[in-house]
Amino acid sequence: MNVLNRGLRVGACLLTIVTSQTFAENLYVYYPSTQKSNVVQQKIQGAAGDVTVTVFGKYSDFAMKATADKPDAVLVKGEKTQVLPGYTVAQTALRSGGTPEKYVLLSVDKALVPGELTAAMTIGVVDYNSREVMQGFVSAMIGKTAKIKNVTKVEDLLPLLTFQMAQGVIIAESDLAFFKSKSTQNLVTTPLKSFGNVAIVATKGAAGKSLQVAKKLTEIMPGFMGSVQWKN
Amino acid sequence: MEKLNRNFVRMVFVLILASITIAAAKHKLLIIRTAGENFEESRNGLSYELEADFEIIDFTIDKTFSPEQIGAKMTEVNPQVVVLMNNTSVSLYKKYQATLPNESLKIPTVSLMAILVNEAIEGLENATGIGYEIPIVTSSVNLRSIFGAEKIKKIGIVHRASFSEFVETNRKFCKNENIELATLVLENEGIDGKLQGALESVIKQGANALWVPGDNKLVNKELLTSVWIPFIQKNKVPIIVGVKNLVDPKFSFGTYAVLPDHSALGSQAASMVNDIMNNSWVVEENGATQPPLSVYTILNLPVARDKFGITTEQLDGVDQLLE
Repeated sequence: MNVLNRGLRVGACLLTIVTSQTFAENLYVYYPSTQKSNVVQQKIQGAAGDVTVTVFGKYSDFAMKATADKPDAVLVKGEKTQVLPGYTVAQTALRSGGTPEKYVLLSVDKALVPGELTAAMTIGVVDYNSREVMQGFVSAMIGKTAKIKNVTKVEDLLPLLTFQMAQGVIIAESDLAFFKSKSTQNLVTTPLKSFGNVAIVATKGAAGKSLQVAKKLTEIMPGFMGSVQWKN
Repeated sequence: MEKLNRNFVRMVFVLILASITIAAAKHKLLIIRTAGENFEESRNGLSYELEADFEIIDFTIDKTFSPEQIGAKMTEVNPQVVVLMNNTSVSLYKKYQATLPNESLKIPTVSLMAILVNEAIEGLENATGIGYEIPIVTSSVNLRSIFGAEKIKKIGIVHRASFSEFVETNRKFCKNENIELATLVLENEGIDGKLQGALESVIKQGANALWVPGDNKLVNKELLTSVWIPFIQKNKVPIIVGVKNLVDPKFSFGTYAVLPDHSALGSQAASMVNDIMNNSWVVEENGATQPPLSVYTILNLPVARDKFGITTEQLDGVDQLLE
């Protein structure tokens, strides 16, 4: 009888392990937001059910961990070309009305005209991908090659302007309110091209719960990515 | 079977050769640093950005090392660029560089995590660096975004002359952000007797927050107990510090700590290394330094909540809350 009980207990344990491995999902989130990753993590985890959400504040941390851990799903800024091997894009976030992300060139006192930028000028950008990809992104945005200064977080673009280390910085238009609320410098903008997705969710399997949590994230925390419209 | 084995050995040989060729094609970057978690974080931030193009050699030293040992490592590695982390590494490397013939080309260096880095790298050739002290404007703007623009208009600072250049540089940047500085310079002699009066003076000038310099002549155990803490109990102003321990709620001292983000410091150094590489291994402006761009913020929650009425909604911009 004792042996039977022990067997049942072991069986129950194994079932628990198998169940948790079968149904629990891991969602890794990297989006260059003006909101702190710890705050986002705390708020979304409470609403994520049995999906374990990890929010990264820096692309390098995300890239290293996602490559090593291969989570069930990833929510990242950008295009499908950025997705890890073995993952497919399951959901795309666009701006409301199904439009691509709008970018502006932010500067102090004088609006910069991309056509008048010289090779000696420096443009700041958040490195939400490799340096090469970001160099290409900046060139596409301003229509010419420029010296770029990468920063790891959106908020770090402001010191680039404060300390005159860059003549302008490229930001998503949805982040403009953050900069204007934080700084009293005379911040001016030049509209740039609208380009690409706000974010994508890519999965290595079905990961249906993670897709729901990703949608929920933008509902619970509208400030995280701004107002978006999801598309399957 | 024998043919299969031979083919396998040939394939392994080709793979090894290919790896050696790839490694040989990379530039070499030597990091000279002391041991510690913060240094490792910076190294990791730097490595992530540069490992595709650089072979990164991490050399850990301590105070017992000699310039000759630095020289031996330089000869062994033969790097294109050197990253120096903290004052010990900078000082040793400076002594090593002084032994080189005057006319020789100097390997470029990027120094970080050193106190007053612009002074530390003085005399080094082909050198640049990143400051370790968080600019006053960065700390003040971050504090203002929590407390509100109407409450943070003037920052009081009591400092010694060694911080004057740093404070005056920041005065200009603060002005651009509509933040004034009320400052008072203390002589090196008789600090214990003058600190209290100096703090009262900057408050009288209208300071509505205090920025505390990372100077152990002004902030030490004795002065914390005898001057700082009693002063703060009487004067309701938020205190900005640059050390985590000083916002520990059990000390009732600092309100808000603004610290360097070490991983981001590594990324910033990587960006400077890329600039040097693109400029044929020459630092564009010898001796010029950059401020650290990225910070990590910590709030003493009991003080912020109970003394200043800060609510949860105002805390979204803080990295860490201490209770």
